[in-house]
Amino acid sequence: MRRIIFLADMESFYASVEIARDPSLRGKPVVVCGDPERRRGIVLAANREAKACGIETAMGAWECRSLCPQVIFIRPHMQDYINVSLQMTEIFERFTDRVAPYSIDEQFLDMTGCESLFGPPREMALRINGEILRETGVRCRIGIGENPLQAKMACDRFAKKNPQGVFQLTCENYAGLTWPLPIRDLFGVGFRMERNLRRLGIKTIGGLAALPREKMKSRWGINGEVLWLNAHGIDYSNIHSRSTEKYKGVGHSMTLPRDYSSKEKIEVVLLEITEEVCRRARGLRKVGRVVNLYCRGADFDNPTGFSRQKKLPEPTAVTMDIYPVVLRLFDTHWDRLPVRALGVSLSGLMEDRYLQLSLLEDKEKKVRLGRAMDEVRERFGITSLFRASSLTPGSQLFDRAGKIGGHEA
Amino acid sequence: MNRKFSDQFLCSRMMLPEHREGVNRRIRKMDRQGKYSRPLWDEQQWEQFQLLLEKALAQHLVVEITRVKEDVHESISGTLKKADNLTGLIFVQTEEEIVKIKAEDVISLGIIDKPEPKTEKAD
Repeated sequence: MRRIIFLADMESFYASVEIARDPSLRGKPVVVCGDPERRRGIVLAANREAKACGIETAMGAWECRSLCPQVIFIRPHMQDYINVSLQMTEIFERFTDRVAPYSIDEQFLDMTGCESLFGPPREMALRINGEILRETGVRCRIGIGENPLQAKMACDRFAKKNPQGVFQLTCENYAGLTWPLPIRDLFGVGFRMERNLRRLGIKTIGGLAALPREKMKSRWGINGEVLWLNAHGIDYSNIHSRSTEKYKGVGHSMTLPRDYSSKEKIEVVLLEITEEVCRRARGLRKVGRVVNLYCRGADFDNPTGFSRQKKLPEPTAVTMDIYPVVLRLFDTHWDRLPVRALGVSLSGLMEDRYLQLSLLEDKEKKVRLGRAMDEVRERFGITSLFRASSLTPGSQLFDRAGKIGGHEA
Repeated sequence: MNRKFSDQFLCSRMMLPEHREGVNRRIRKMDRQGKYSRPLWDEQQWEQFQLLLEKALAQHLVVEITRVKEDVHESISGTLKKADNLTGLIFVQTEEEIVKIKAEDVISLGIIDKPEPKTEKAD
């Protein structure tokens, strides 16, 4: 049986939610933008009118003003966007029970077997689009495919560009429609892989598809093979509606308000990030075995930085067990150039029911202390109990408190 | 098959922890509702309940009613005091208090005991 997979993507999601809240904004160029005083003052979403003036996502606020003097800036309301996204999941669930959110504004739907209820795929998609628009005020675009990859390609490359906002790719038309597209348009190809492929003389998706699978495999291992399959429209992914319940890792990262060059300041931020990662892991009652540190350099045009990981001798979620490992990783790999963004993640998660006892230290006490701190913070807020280093100038704790994804809740 | 072939969208998913928690909270709520969902009653079953209620009222019998309250099954036993057809409310005298139950929340009803015989005072 042929599967019917949808990828529903919301048009200018944050901006559309703001316009639905305040209809007086309709027809005007609207930009949802972080604090212009800080580095977060970049465009998070721009509506059609703003985009028509040349405004693009991730552009600086000042740049927007020069492109479109009448632009209306709105600060983000992250909790509202999450609520609307959850409301959309509920609407999708009227059509199918297999819904999997992919990001705040993209959700996969497995509509296989629903034709007798809602008609052919195109009709189903138009009906879903209608309900989403009527109930949330947000315009939805749907890519249809026989697997999640085809749905994603149909949405990103075609549905977003057509007026109905619906496009269907099948195993039959996939090659004809996607192979002439530039290689960067293939799902999974970022700017580095594009550079690598261009060095091989591959400029289009069809060019990659024409390579032997073995060549891609020998050059980039399994990642190369996945790209080759993507170029052929083959994908073995499934839609797991409960996949959000499984945690493979817990991570936290942040873009700093300005570039940090001082080691002391960076270490303060690293401790705060590590604390947040461990707090979340403890909240899930998990301990982790692998620590990953991500660091991005400040030079935007010449991307530098690293992502390195270290396996711990035993799984833990105690901040002060993980922090020294993070520091060691940072010390070893940092090129001493200014830093723009930092992130820490803990993976290799397992249940925290088991604890390796030690003769020399009271581990149970450390675990209990961590939990007690978490309880205090949960009841009285993240800034009610903190480490003294958070009072030093580099700290981001007070600035980030109460924010979602680094933006106003 | 290697997981990378089947998990490319799981690996590349970008979800805020707060969004993910919201999705999980919904799943947990739906699980509870599925577990404690209200059955669809047959008309004859309703008539049966009606008869039992009338009998319990007339004979001051002890009943056990199971109702759904905030997605949880709750069992209440006591003497039936009143069943109001107009408001759809059933009043049950338990040991501590009189409990008001909405008829639409009832998922099972049974007579569990006869009332204790009233002891008459000896002169």
